Amino acid sequence: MLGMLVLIARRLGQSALVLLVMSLLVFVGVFAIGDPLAILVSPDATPEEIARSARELGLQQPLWQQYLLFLQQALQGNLGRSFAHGEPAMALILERLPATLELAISATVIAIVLGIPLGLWAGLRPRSLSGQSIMAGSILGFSLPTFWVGLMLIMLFSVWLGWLPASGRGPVQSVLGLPLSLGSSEGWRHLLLPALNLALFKLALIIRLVRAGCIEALRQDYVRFARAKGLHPRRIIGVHVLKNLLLPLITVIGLEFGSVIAFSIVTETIFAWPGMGKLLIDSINVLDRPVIVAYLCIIVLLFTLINLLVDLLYVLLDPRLRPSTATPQRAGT
Amino acid sequence: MSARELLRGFQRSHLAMAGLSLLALLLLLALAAGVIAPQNPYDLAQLDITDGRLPPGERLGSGALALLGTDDQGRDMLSAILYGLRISLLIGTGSTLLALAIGLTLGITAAWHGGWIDALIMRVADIQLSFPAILIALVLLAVFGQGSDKILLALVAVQWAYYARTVRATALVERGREYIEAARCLALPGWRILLWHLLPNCLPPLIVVATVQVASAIALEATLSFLGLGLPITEPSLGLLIANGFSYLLSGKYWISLFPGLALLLLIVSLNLVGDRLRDLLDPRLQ
Amino acid sequence: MNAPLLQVEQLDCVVRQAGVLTGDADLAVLQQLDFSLQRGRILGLVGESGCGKSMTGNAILGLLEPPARIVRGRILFDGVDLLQQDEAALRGLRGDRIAMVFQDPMMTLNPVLRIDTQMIEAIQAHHPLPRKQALARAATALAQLGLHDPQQRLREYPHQLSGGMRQRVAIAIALLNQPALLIADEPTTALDVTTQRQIVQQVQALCREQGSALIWISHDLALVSSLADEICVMYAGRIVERGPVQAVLQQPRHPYTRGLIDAAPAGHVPGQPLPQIPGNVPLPPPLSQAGRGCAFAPRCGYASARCGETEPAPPEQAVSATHRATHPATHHATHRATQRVRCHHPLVYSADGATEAITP
Ligand SMILES: Nc1ncnc2c1ncn2[C@@H]1O[C@H](COP(=O)(O)OP(=O)(O)OP(=O)(O)O)[C@@H](O)[C@H]1O
Ligand SMILES: [Mg+2]
Repeated sequence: MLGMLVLIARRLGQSALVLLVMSLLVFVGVFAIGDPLAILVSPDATPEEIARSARELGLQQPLWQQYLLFLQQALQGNLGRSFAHGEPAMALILERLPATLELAISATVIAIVLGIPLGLWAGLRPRSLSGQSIMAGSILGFSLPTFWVGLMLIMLFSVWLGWLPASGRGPVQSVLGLPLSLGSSEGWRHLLLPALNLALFKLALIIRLVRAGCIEALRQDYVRFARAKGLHPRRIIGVHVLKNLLLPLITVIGLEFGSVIAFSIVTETIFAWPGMGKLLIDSINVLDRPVIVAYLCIIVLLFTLINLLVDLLYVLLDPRLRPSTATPQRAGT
Repeated sequence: MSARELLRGFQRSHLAMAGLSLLALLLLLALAAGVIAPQNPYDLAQLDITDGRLPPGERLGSGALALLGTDDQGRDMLSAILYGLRISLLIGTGSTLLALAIGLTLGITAAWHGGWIDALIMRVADIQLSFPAILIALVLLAVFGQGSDKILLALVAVQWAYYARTVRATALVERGREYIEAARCLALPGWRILLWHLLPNCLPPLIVVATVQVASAIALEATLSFLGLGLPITEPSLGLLIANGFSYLLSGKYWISLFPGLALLLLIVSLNLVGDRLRDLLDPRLQ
Repeated sequence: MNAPLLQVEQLDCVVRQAGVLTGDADLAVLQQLDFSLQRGRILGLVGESGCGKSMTGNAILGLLEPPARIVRGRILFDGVDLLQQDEAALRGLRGDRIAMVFQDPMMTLNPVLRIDTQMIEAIQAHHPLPRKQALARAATALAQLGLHDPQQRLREYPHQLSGGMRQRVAIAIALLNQPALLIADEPTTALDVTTQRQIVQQVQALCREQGSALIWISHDLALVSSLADEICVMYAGRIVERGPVQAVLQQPRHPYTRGLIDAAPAGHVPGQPLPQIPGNVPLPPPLSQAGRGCAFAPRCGYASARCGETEPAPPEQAVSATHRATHPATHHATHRATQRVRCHHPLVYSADGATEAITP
């Protein structure tokens, strides 16, 4: 247990270090290379406002003090006001976060729920027609740009078949304080296409991973031994193979969650999903830079958090990495 | 492996051969766009707004056939696609070559100097690779603004790290070889010898990475253009053409988006097929 | 006289090999394999690497996977032909009546499952035992193989155990359901000599106690001689000689067996170079070319023109009554096992057993 705590502490320390480095990078981008007044103060501001902001940002101070000030402000969530909305940029982003998370998590769930069975199927019969078709589909899923797939989904399901709405988010209900659209069927209908769109790339990835892992595991002696024990194939696949697959799978899914959030920028724009990705694009288009900086800070924080969580999960799940108090014993006579 | 052997390697796989032929065809079409396109889509004088949004197969006011329809400004889609193909390919290969040069230089520098230079270059590459390319490109465009040069910059910035990694790995292996030691003893400029011997060894993996990277650069450019952050509207790439048609998609005018989309799809898939086969043929670890 | 527990008859196995130019070809890996084993007896299966020992074991358990497959023959277990059984019936036998352990202790246990999980599932696959009883049986099995503190071991993962302990666990799992037959495919090859000896003794004692028959696959003649009742010597997919272990090892009749014994380090004069059989084990030939002459002929000091042309018949038919009568060693056999050889020119021994000559 103590070993576990030390491990967590060390990982936390590493994450803090990464955050510090990233904040330095953001700072350099905004304050050292760019013109902070142009970036963080609205272009329509009066000279007095600009002077006041310059004072607030501490621009007359040496650079390292400016950085400390920036850090302090960032920690308080104070990254300037949106030019376009007039609200604090951070609050604006956080307001959109639940919609993005809802989309990203739904996409990940779809990718897992479809990807593991398809990958297993293809891994168990790599030479069969169905196995090779699944593999070909996965290769295609890799090469198609997300926005292109989104377009096709809209064309097929919204325009031609008219089954599902092409844009927007359905009605939301407050679940545990979070506004989610999973409560109503209309909400589901709106969520389905964007989630599918966002899921496709990860689906292709999971299929590949599971298939390769399955083929690999089936070659292992422990599977042969499991067969020699007379176990049913259901148990061999479901327990012996799957449990070995789970570890790399969880790692990849976890690490890829960040990229799901990044790609939700594209999906949200196509499907007019009111998440923070769409906000980012809108902000870039109107040069609403405080929002961009805030988004950047949030995404860096998210990535660091995700990496930390995956690391910890990995240690929790892999018995070989779990710190144990017992040392390996000798065999008896 | 000679070019002939490579070709024979391709011929053994139907899928790869199909990809190669398709790619060759697309390249040819893009190169000959100026000659075979019915219209110069960039020449606004040739456009007639009353020709706008004609479905495939209709005739323009001038009597010319719009085989794939027209867009909202009366641009012949076939011509726009041919020219767009050229731009997409140009920016894809251009950014890849530039990134290749930068990555090669940085990779060799890192491997040759070692120490903190190596650590610095590779840490930056690691951090960068831990974020999705699209995010990095978006941030760069948001900070530096838009335009063709900015797009190129963004595409180069997201790619260099792959090459730097590949080159450094190969270079580290080569660095320990005797001929480098010998050159050092003779006080010859070791890095030049390294470069000379290294290139043939690095080339196969670099070619593989580059082929696939051209495809992803094209896809990324199309995505950025689609998001409205890409090339200027005057010279539309495939991504921008698709974006232009997007608003009409919902009203059933599918052709403005669909046909450029198909062209993009064929381009990316053919590049990936060729890249996959090249990896099989050139990467000894997989044989 | 009881029917034997296991009777392998005229077993042929092939491996399909994909050829780019020549098309697919079947390689004859096992050819006319023929042997039997009585209840509770221990059989040593020896031969150089690649001669088909593992494939024999896997074939009996029905574990052969493409590209390998059985093309002919019978495997009678308790009078039932295993090759006629469907997968479900075989599954019922595997791990219950016939068990097997493999060579590499580091790989046979699933790294992400605890020992208790891996043991309980082996019991519950065949017997509807409640978890608690199954656990108790598992602990007993571990203790029988000399593992200290079995309760603790049960809660551990394979990586927490040494190689020797893992192999003990694997063997304990194989013996959980008191199988009538245990096939051990070189289970101690990867272990140090002391551990090896301990494990061999424990397995031997346990099999005697439970009445399990044992097939011990090995290339270590000394080990087999201390363990087995009978021995089968394999060469290039064939059994070239079999019989009571003492008889075969003291007066081998096949030149290959002779070579193996001479090449064994035990009992050899220090300082002298170790005698070797010249050449290497041939690769399995394509099915179309199998059976042309004795496979050992190219390496054999006694080979004649005949050896290059016709393959000696399998032992059952080959050894004539007169030959058997000339054998001083047959009285070692407690059962009906007699020394049999697949050779045109088996070695014979003079009355004092010292000199050898070739049969005309
Ligand atoms: N799946 C397979 N694919 C190709 N060849 C195979 C396969 N399985 C077995 N063989 C061939 O069959 C022959 C016998 O293999 P086997 O593993 O039974 O040998 P062995 O006697 O157990 O050797 P060792 O002492 O090294 O374990 C070998 O020549 C091997 O190359
Ligand atoms: Mg073997």
